[in-house]
Amino acid sequence: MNNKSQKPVSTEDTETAFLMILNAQKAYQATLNKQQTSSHISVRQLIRLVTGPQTSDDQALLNQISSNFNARRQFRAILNTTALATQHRQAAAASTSSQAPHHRPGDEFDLYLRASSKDDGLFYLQLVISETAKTTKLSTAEVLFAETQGLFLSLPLPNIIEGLAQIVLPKGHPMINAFQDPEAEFFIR
Amino acid sequence: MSGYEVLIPTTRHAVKVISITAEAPDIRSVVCLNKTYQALPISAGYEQFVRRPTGIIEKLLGPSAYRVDVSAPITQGDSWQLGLALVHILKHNDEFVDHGGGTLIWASGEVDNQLRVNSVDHIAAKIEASREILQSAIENGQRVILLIAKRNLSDLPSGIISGMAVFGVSSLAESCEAIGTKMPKQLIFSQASATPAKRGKGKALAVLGSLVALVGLLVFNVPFQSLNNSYQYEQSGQLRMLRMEMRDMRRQKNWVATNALYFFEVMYLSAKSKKLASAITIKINAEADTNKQNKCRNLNGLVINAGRLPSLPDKGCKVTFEVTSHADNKIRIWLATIDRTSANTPLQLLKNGAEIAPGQQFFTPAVAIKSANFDLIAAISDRDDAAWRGWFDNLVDAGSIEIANLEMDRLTSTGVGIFQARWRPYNELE
Repeated sequence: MNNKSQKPVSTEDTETAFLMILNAQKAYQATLNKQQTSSHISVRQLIRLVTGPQTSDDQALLNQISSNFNARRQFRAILNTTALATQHRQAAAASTSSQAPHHRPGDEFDLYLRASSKDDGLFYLQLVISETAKTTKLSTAEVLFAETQGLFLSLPLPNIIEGLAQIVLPKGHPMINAFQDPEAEFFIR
Repeated sequence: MSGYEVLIPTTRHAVKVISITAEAPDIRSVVCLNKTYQALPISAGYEQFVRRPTGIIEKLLGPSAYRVDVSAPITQGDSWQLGLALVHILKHNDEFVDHGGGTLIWASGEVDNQLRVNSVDHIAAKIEASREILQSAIENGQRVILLIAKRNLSDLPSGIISGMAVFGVSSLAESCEAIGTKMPKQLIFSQASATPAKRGKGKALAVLGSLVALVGLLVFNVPFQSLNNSYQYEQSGQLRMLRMEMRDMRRQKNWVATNALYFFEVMYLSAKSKKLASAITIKINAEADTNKQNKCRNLNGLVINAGRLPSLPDKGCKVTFEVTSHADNKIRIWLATIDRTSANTPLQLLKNGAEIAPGQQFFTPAVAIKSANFDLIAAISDRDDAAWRGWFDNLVDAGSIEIANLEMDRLTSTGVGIFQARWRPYNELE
C-alpha cells in the first residue's frame, strides 16, 4: 500500500458527498412514489367510469387509462361487456357512399357529423339508433365512448328522442377526430 | 337606426338573441350559448316548438331546423316561446339585428299551437332582472317595447320603467301588430278563412259563399305542406325523414291527409320501387368446370328471374353475377347472397355494391353457390345509399320472417326497389 498517494479527506468533502447521496436517495424515492400513484387505477374506478354517473374528473381518468397498457386493456374489456352497443372500426375502402366522411354506419347505431350552416366551426354529432328490435334498450344510452389512436374519450348523451341524440361540438374537438378516424371504435352505455 | 333586437327575460337576467340560422332539415333545432358551443337545456323544447307536427315555426315559415345563439343561459320554462317566435318572424322579414337596432323588444309568454299567447309566471321578477339593460336602451334612444300576455298585465309592478311601450297581447298576430312587423302570409290566410260571410246578399252570393267555404275547407284540410315535405325528403334522399313525415301524417287522423298519403305511397313510392326492381337484369356467369359438373355449364348465361326457383346443383358452382341497369338514371345497387340452409342463422356469402349509369354493367366477386336454400337479394335506388343501406343490411341479416318483412316495408315504402330470387329444393315446390 502506498499511503503517500492518498489525499487527506476534509470534513467539507464528506459533508458534500453525504448530501449528494441524500439527494439521490430522495429523488429515487420521489420517482418511485410518482410511478405508484400514476399507474394504479383500480378495477372499481374503471367500472365506475363505464357504469356510474359522469363526473368532471372522468376525462382526466380516461387520459390516465389511455397511458397505461394494463388499464387500457381492462377498460376495453369492461366496455365490451357492459356497453349497450358497439360500433367497430370502419371498412373505409368498402364504402361507395359519397357522404362517407359525414357518416359512420354501424350494426346497431349510425353516427353522422354535420357542420352548422352558420359555418363558424360548430358541428352536430348525431347518433341514430338503427330501426331494429333493440331500439327501446339502446334508447336508454347515456354516454358515448370512443377509442381512437390509443386514447379513450367520453361524452354524455342527451335524451335519445325518436332514435336520435344530437351533441353540439366545436371544431377540433377530439370526438370529431375520432369520428374521422376509420380505426376508431365507438361504444354507448 | 333600424331593425329589431330581442331580449328574452329570465328571473336572473335578460338574455339577448345574438343570431338565428336555418339549418339542414336533418339537424335538430338547438339553442346555443354564444361563443361556447354549449347546447342549452331548452333545446329539446325548442325543437318541438319548431318542427311539425307539434311545432308552429315550420308550419308558419317553412324550414324545420334552426340554430339560435343567445348571450346567456335559459335553463327552464316555456316563456321564451314568444320572444323566439318573434325572432323567427323578424328574421323572415329581414328585420332582425343583434345590435344597433332602433327597437328593443322584451317579450315573455307561451305560444300554443293555435298561435295564442298565454300567460307566464314571475313577470315582475323578470322586469326587475332586466331593469338595467332596459334603462340603458331607453337612455341610448332605442324604442323599447315590452310584450306580455294580456292576462299578465295585472302582474306588472307599480314602479315600472318609464319610457317603455307595454302591450298585453293574446295572439302572435297581435304581437306582430304591436311591434309593427308583418305576419307571414300563411297565418293571415288561416285567419281570413275564419271570417264569417255577411248575410242577405242574395241566393247567388250564398251559393258562391258555400263554394268558397267548401274549397276553403278542402284547402285547409289537404296537407299540402306535409305532402310537399314528403316529396322533398324523397327527392333529397332523406328516407328516414320521409318515413317520419309519413308517420306524422298518419297520426293526424285526418281523412283527407290519410287518403292523400295513400295515393302518394301507392302512385309514387310503391310504383317507383316496383319500377326500380324491374330495372335490372342479373345474369349468372358460371365456371363450367366447377366440380366437373355439367349442371354448372347449364347455369352459365342464365338470366335470373325474381321469385322462387328450383334448387341449384348439389355439389355447387362457382359463379359471378353480371348486373345490367335498364333504369332511366344512374342507380345504386347493393347485392347479397345468403345460404339459408340453417333456418335461424343465415350465412351471408357475398355483399357487393356499385353505382352504375343506364346501360352499364357491374360484376360481383366470385362466389360458390351450393345450397338448396339459397337467396339472392338486390336493393336498387336512385338515391344515396346512406339513407337505406342499413335497412338492406338488416334485411340480409334478418333471422326471422317478421324482421325481414319489416325491413322490406322500410325499403319499398320509401321507393327503394327490391329484387329477390330464392332457390329452394324441388320437393318444397311440390
